[in-house]
Amino acid sequence: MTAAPRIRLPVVLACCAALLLVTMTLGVAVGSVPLSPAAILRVIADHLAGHPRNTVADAIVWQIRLPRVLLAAVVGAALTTAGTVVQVLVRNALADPFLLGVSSGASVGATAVLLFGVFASLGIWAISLGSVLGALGAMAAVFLVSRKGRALAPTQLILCGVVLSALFESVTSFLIFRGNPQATQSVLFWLLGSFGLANWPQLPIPAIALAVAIGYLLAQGRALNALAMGSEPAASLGIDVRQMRRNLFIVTSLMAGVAVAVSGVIGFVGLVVPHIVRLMVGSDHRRVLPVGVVFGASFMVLGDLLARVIVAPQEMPIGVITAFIGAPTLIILIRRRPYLYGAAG
Amino acid sequence: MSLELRGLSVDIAGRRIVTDVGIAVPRGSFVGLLGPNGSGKSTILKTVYRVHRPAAGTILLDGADLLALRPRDAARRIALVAQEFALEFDFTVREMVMIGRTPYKRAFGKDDETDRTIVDHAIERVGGQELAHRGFNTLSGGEKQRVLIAQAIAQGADHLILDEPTNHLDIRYQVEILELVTGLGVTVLAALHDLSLAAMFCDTVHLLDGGRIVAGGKPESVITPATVRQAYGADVLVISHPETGTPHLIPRRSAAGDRASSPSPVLPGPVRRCGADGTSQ
Repeated sequence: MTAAPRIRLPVVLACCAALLLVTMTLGVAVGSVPLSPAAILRVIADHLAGHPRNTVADAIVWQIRLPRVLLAAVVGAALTTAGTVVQVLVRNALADPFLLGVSSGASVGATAVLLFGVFASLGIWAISLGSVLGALGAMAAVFLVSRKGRALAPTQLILCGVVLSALFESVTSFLIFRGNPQATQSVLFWLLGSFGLANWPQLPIPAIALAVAIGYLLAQGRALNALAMGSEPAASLGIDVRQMRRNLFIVTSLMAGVAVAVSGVIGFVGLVVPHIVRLMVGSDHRRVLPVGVVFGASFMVLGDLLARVIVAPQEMPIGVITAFIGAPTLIILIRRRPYLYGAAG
Repeated sequence: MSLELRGLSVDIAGRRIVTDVGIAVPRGSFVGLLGPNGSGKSTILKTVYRVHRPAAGTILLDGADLLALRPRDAARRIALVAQEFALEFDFTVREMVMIGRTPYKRAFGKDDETDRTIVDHAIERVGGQELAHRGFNTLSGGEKQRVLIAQAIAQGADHLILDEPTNHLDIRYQVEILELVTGLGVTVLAALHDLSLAAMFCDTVHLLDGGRIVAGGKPESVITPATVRQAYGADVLVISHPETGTPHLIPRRSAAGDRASSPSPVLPGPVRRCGADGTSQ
């Protein structure tokens, strides 16, 4: 089986960028009040020029849909990048950014906020703070438990991550069991993920944090290729494997924690999109990572759009959509390219 | 002396795996590490390419402390050809060989014309032009090993570490791979499983047992029935290879004498034996 030489990276990136532009435009245009691309452009131009108009279109575009679409794009890019890297970090195609306990730790924090009013004085920041603290706690726990000597070995990392995740999930269940039924509804909705709470004041900090983390990981492309061969070949190629694993673990965990804090636990994106991208452009991380950023952003914007329109005026949890799109797509692709997943062995 | 291990001891998880090992690898030579499974061959190699830290002793590269070098600088001098493996996410052969350029590149550094030329040459050197766009996981064991050698060539190192590179390979590829490596003109330190093969290719061999060197020197002085029995606990005949004159092992069945006196009591009926040409007689 001879694979064709790869399509040039700029071409792939341009296609994905066009896709992102289309999905973002649709994301802002479609809704209970449909808007034309021209109307959207006018609103954005007015704001950029510094004299926004007081119109309904302005309120819809600027206050509601645009921050939501931007947040979806950033989180989609971040989860895809983190997922790609975690799969290399633990050398396992089934890994995703939430595998290592971060999301379940964050859930404990967020549930405590939603059910028991922890950090109530912080207003809109309370849930984010709760989940970030939960994520950090989980990350520290997994890190300490899975450390073998001074190294983070892949198998230990997976096992400890999965076991501690289960533990944190049972804590969340316990909190829900003890909490009041009305609040439970909002917890469940939050756990399945949503961009419904996006707003401008809360956008910059997580967006910048995720963008910086994505930039850091993009710089690791070549080193990730070496690491993908295994720790020992990577060491012989001049990689400080211990340090690299530790850095990747911390950065991807922080990204997952921030993503969960702003949008809940949106599953499947960090697992599936990296595979879709690999099937499109191969496994060279200098291609997978940048394409994943743009494609992951488009995927998430599209998912959020569907979540809003499919059962309108109600809203579907986006995790439902991402799984519904992602699972069949991945299965089709895997069946067409078996060798990519070690079927040769 | 190009590469030299002096008084090297290595601990793993609090246990001493390698004790006071001294090995000299002169420039351009092929030095073999022999010994049964668990005798410390791989551990010694892994210490040279920085997976393990020595508990005691030093590793010298051209007389200077190897472990004091920055990892990427060490990688420009010493490359690894590992045992064949499968990738979790498949790279093409060309991508695999390009990974050999890692120690020369900074973050975001693009592959330039030099890298591409080096990679093309490396693939050509191992006769892998046809394979360049194949997925690594689709290759046979022998082909994979050639690609890993091409990667090491692209790494531009003048020292090669081989960790049982001929494991799981057919006899044709075993010889082919080792000939390819000897033809590169680099300094080689190799852990090898097959003693006869090692004897054909190594200038010097060191026999390890329980993490210590029990014999070292020319293959013909190290590989003897006595040393093999001591290290491997195996009963062998050692003959001289008719073409190369190097020691060649012939395994013996345990208590061979008993069987000779009472022919094939376990095989009732006509006894089938294989002739020299492989046909049944």
